[in-house]
Amino acid sequence: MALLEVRNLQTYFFTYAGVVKAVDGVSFSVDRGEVLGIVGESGSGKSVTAMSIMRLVQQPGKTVGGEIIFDGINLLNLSDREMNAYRGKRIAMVFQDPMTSLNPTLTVGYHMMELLSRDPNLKTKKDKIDRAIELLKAVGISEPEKRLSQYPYQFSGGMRQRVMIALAIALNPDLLIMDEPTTALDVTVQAQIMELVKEIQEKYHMAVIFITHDLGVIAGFADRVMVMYAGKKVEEGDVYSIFENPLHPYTQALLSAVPKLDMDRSQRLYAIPGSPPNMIAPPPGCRFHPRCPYAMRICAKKIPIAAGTDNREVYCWKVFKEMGVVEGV
Amino acid sequence: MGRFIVRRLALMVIALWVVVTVTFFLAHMIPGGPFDREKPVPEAIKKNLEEKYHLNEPMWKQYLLYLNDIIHGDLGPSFKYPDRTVNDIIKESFPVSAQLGFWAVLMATFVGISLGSVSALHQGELIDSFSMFFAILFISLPSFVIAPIFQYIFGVKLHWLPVANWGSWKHMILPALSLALGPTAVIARLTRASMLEVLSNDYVKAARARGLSGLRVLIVYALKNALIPVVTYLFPLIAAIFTGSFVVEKIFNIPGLGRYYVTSIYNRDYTVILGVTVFYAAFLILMNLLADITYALLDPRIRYE
Amino acid sequence: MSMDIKIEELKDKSLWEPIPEEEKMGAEELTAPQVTFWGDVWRRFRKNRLAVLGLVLLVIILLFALVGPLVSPYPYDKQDYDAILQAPNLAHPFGTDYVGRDLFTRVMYGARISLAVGFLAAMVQLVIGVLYGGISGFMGGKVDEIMMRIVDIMYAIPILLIVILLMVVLGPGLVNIFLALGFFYWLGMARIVRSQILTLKEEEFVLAARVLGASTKRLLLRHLIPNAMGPVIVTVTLNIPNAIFTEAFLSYIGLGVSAPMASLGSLASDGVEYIRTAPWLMLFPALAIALIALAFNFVGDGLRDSLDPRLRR
Ligand SMILES: Nc1ncnc2c1ncn2[C@@H]1O[C@H](COP(=O)(O)OP(=O)(O)OP(=O)(O)O)[C@@H](O)[C@H]1O
Ligand code: SF4
Ligand SMILES: [Mg+2]
Repeated sequence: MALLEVRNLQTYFFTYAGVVKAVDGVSFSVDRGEVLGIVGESGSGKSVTAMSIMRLVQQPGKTVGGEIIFDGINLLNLSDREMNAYRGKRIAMVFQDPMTSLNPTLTVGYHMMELLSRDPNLKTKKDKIDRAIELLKAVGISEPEKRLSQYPYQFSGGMRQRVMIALAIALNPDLLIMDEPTTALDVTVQAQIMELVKEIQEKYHMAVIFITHDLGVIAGFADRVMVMYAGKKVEEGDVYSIFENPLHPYTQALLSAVPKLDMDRSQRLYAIPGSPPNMIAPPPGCRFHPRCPYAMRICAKKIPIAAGTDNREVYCWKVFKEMGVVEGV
Repeated sequence: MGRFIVRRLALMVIALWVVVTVTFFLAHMIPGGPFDREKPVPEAIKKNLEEKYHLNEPMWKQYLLYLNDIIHGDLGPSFKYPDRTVNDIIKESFPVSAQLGFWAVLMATFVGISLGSVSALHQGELIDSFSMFFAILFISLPSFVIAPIFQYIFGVKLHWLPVANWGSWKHMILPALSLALGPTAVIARLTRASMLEVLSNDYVKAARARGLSGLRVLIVYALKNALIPVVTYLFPLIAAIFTGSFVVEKIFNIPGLGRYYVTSIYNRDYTVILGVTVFYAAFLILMNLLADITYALLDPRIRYE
Repeated sequence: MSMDIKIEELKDKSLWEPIPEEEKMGAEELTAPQVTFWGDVWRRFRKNRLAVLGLVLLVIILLFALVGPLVSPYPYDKQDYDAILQAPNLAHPFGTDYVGRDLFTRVMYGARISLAVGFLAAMVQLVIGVLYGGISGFMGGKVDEIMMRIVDIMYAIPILLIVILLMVVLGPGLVNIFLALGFFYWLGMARIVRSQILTLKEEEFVLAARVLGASTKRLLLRHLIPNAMGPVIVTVTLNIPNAIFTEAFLSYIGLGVSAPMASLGSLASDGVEYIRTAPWLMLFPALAIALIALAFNFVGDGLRDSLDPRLRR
């Protein structure tokens, strides 16, 4: 059985302007020790998916439907207190911006000790300090003893992200969710952090959900890739088949698009003609159809149904047609 | 931290010097004022003044001597009542104002912070709309409007509390409330805004994602950080409460420094106006410094500058 | 939901033809709706009930203050010893005072002064504050350093005390109040404008304009000023009640406008003495001050919320 199984997840934001269906019926699963990459343009619902799993979607957002089965238990049925026991201990998360992810008024040591006090194996203060030092060493922070008493602002961005990773793995979680952990960092630092993430994933054999804009990063790390567009999954498959043979026109566009030169590297976006849809009144049928070069009449009328083989899932009428299920068309 | 405080200290000293200098020269500009030597004043007072303010000396020397007096804490005699000095008046009446002000500040910060936090945590719910509506209402009522209304309702009509005067703790409630309501509302709004900002911060989300308890996140992550900007309002708060006390003390007939100040304005007791202005300025500037230091203590980025 | 599609339905060949551009749906929403910035602000402002209420209140108050005294049958200073301390009635909706003057007319006059003070405060902030902060932020370096030190020092001074002192020196009177307030009311604005300019200078689009060779004047007019507008307007609106309070306070302690002219502050102060016998003398001026401040606060809050870039989407 998969470690995490998300079924038909629906998370909506009830804004003044209308209901934003940020995640609209997404299903996927992650096995133990597996790395799932999630890619998609900005606003496609990647972060909201992650936050839904953590059950940390904030007002005016709400998960209104679906199931999130983690290790056999539907997280959506847990009380707040029960859910809290999962956070940090079974499922951990690393956020995009390390500059703002640590409390500026607390020392790094405080952050770590606070979390480690939930580890029943660490009885004395000395145990905890030793463990904190061990963790900081594991993420490649030199002079950890000294670093413990320092404040976040005394750390560089890359160092802070290392601290965030140390915090995330501190309680040996089964699943680690990383929401664009390198986007806010310099290119050289990005590479170092990726090295660290890979090393740690292998060492602890954790399941990882890795969210990114950067297809290059995914290619070298993920086992499987899920592509999202406008709150929906459009394609999923193992990393090789997605890169070798992208089937969905959106995935193809993502892969062939080049980063715009004038873009800040921290928000590297891929230039696909047209712009992301209005999420309050998304296009009917296939949400990608206004931008799709292959769009057919049916694409504006009906939501695509799943097409594909065992380890491949595509939501596209063109692919469906090419499979020849419907005779004569 | 050291450098920060030294800089603030320097700023305060300069500000104080500016106040003293401005008051000095303004006082000498007053037509028919205390230092207008053409003015017919009783001989005793005139002599007193000339002696005290060295009116026979050239201006710059007068100024330096005045500065010297102030540095030694001597604020001079009263212009109207030659047997009293400004220092006497302050010694007698400031403790009363300070007591009243203390309770008002305490109430404003405590109630304001609690209300603001509760509103932020229940953003958009009934309790939030309710308290924010009252906050904006009380901000729109100056203390000299609130005071007589309270006096009328709770004193004259309902007889719950004394209408005026000073003595028991009962006498303190209405004036302290009148002084505190506006600042309470300001602090509540400030806390709410700051809290909402902090709550939307990544480090709060990250703390929750680590599974810390709600109460822990609220106190250690949200409240503490949300209060940092609120601290910067402490100085304007104290200033508002003390200047508010000018009229509130008068309305409730409380023998505090504020009432003396207003009375001396009414009967143009210039030297008292001057002395008390300098005293209040010094007091408030000192409070400003304390607020700054508190701020620095709360924010490690300044503490370890 | 997508499962209830029957194969039969899909057999229609026309479904599988390329879609003409005009049949694409939701495409018009692809380009962000073309609303201007201020149109957007106004749309959000209009949705805020308290803000609209404030605006309506403000218009009504303005009408009463400007037109009211002209059409009132009683001059503000006309004493009528046959109608002393009358409770509110049809002839005198707010009653009369201890020398038989019509309180309604006097309150309208007082509101006029309050609004004039508010207007002045707004002007001082907009002219001196914006210029000072703008120059400081734009010049940067030594100039900025010195200009901001001056503001810091003035900020540390309890302003009201100096204003009181100034009023003692200058003597009571409306013009003197204007002068005394004008000295200080630009400080906060100068700081805000400066910090706005500093952040905007760092923004990419300004850098980009720079790179493209935009002149300083153009940069100022086209980029910086429009972008700094939001906080400026909000600050001005929310500071107006402060200025109005200060005038009322000064008049209350006898340093404001002199009799027989009436300001809401001096009216309230006069009324306090009659609070047991003729409470309306206190109540109506107090109510008027509160309403004016409330109106500005509602509008200011509404503006702040509708200008907040974080709420904009
Ligand atoms: N607090 C909110 N209120 C309203 N809408 C929201 C809110 N948060 C997210 N959304 C909407 O949800 C959608 C998905 O957002 P999400 O943050 O998941 O995108 P993302 O794929 O993570 O993009 P990015 O790559 O920029 O991080 C967006 O269209 C956004 O407008
Ligand atoms: S379903 Fe139609 S519009 Fe959507 S991607 Fe496939 S071909 Fe393009
Ligand atoms: Mg995201």
